[in-house]
Amino acid sequence: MPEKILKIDDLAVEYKNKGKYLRVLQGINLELKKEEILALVGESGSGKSTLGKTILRLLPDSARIKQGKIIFKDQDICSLSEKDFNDQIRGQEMAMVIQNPQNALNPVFKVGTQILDVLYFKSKKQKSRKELKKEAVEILKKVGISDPEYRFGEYPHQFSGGMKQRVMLAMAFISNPSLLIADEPTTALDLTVEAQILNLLSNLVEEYQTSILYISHDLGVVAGLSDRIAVMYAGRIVEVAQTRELFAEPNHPYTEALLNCLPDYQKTEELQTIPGQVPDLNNYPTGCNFHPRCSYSFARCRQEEPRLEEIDSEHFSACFLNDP
Amino acid sequence: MALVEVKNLKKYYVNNDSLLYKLANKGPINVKAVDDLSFEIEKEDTLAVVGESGCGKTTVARSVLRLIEPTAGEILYKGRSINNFNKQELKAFRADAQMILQDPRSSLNPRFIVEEIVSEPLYIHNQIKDDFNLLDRVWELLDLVGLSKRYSELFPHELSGGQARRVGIARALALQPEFIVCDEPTSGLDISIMSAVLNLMKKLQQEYHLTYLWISHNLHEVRYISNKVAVMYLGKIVEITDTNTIFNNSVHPYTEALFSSLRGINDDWNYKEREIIEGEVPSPINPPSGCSFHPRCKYSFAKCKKVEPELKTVEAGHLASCHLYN
Ligand SMILES: Nc1ncnc2c1ncn2[C@@H]1O[C@H](COP(=O)(O)OP(=O)(O)OP(=O)(O)O)[C@@H](O)[C@H]1O
Ligand SMILES: Nc1ncnc2c1ncn2[C@@H]1O[C@H](COP(=O)(O)OP(=O)(O)O)[C@@H](O)[C@H]1O
Ligand code: SF4
Ligand code: SF4
Ligand SMILES: [Mg+2]
Ligand SMILES: [Mg+2]
Repeated sequence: MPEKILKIDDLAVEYKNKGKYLRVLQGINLELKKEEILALVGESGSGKSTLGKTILRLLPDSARIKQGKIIFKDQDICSLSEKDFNDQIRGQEMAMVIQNPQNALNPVFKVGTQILDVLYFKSKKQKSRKELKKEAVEILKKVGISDPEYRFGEYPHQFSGGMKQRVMLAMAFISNPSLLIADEPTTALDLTVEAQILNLLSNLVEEYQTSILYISHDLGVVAGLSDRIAVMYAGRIVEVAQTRELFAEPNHPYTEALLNCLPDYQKTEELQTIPGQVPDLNNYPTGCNFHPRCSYSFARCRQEEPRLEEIDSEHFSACFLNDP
Repeated sequence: MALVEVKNLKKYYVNNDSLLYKLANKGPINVKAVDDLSFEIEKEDTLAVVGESGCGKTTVARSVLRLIEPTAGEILYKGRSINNFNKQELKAFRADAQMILQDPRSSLNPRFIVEEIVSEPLYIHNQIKDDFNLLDRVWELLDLVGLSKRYSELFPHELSGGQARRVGIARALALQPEFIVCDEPTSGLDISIMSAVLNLMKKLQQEYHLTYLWISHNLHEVRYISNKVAVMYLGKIVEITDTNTIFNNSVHPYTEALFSSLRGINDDWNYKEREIIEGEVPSPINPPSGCSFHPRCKYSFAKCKKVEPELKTVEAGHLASCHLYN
């Protein structure tokens, strides 16, 4: 059994809205193994980014952790002070890449300078600028940037979207983190560039033995990237399974419906749709969150909340159909 | 006769304030957004245009509807040149040919409620007889796109992304068009909403015999919605044929590279082991010599750097521009 790097235990998070706290995440249980890529998929507003931000302590002031634990390498990181978290965890043990590298790179400084800063910090301010510059150029080369010496002196706006995302990955991996949280890092990229970045990411994971929580709404992307998939719906994880198994034998009615909606070049049948809409934060239904849209729902679904249970080896689902 | 014929369309943007221009001081720089493009769309067909960002898809879409003036070339609608339309003909064309945009919310007037947004084209084209059946017509249109009556009173900011897109579709349908240009109509939508929009567009096409020019970079969607595909690279069509052939027997190396990124969720594959085309799309300001794909093409040979290949027939109904084939 590979060792666990992250364990989330019955986590609930709330956002304050007009003076009232609303539940965004509820009953989240999730484990991430060493060197594993776990994809977190779900439709817009389901709470994927909120979960990522909770782990990295990037939630806005209007949010609070209502209950639960986040165990990272046998340590409950929720109980760490802000300072300890910053010193020990963020940017060291955990890193993040996000959708918009534009916002993550500072437009006023040269790309090389920004990499140097991270390296300088990592070397505990010991190494000389010259040594570090050599390292930085090496890093640019490694993430596939041609002409690295020349690119070192350029500004972010002179980089294409794909190149910026390469730089972001390079910076994230400098500290050799145990956990990388990637929040839709390829959404703004072209198809061929997206494939390049995901190929790079897969190789970096192998080389640095990093675990990744990969947030995405694109099932096609995660099909070629992740070891396992966790499906979110309205603030809850409804199903977790090995990637191939989830696609071949989805258990939860929401996962099944989602797969039937997805256009796929091999599919010949009509696309299905899911009636109704994703519920609003301030309007979560009673019982199973999916019941108003579920074609299998029955009386119990409106009254009780199903829990995520292991229905098969390494396959979890939160649905009363498994528990008649 | 094809419903739409595009002949040798060129659209160059003049870029005066670029740094390159100032440094070189060699006169204004032409951005060849679309460079000598020809294709036809038969009635009730869906021609999908695919390609990476900046290759000129939106420029084609806007030219075909005469929302921008081409630098050169001709566009025929029902056999007549849209650039020679007089005022009245242009107005009729504006009713007949509609557009559905990528970013639905920014294309809906934020100060109007849905009822006003959907009925506005009817006013502009004087199709209103009396106010009574106007609301009926709006409800009918909303019903067509699967929105209930209550949505007619909402403002755009009160709609979800999928609803806003449906309002855009209802508005485009108001004047009973024959031809609709859809510029990435599902991008940014959630899966369940995307499938609803795709099914809706398919149903409307069958019921009202619509013809679509469908711009997309989602190849799965293209397979589902289109019967013809044009692949663009740097302002040019590099391959065009029916959808089946593009997916099963394409010939152009760029098509091959683009479609090699295509995998179904039930295929067994991963990004780690996949062969992936290198490099990014070059800038149209300074496109490579000869075949503009040559720096990324794994088949390129001496001739490719010097001579630009022409779009030629490979077999009946299948055109490609590559020296390997002519
Ligand atoms: N700062 C905030 N204050 C109040 N509500 C918020 C805040 N941030 C997010 N939310 C709400 O929390 C819910 C989950 O948001 P989150 O950003 O985690 O979704 P997501 O799954 O990442 O969606 P997407 O796919 O659109 O990125 C949404 O209903 C959102 O409107
Ligand atoms: N108004 C404009 N002025 C100058 N350049 C433009 C303008 N519109 C588009 N371009 C350029 O033309 C090329 C094609 O753009 P576009 O048709 O929008 O591509 P696509 O829709 O395929 O992404 C790009 O290089 C773009 O930067
Ligand atoms: S618990 Fe009931 S409503 Fe929820 S997914 Fe299962 S069957 Fe559907
Ligand atoms: S003409 Fe040459 S470079 Fe261009 S696609 Fe064909 S083989 Fe490749
Ligand atoms: Mg998000
Ligand atoms: Mg465009």
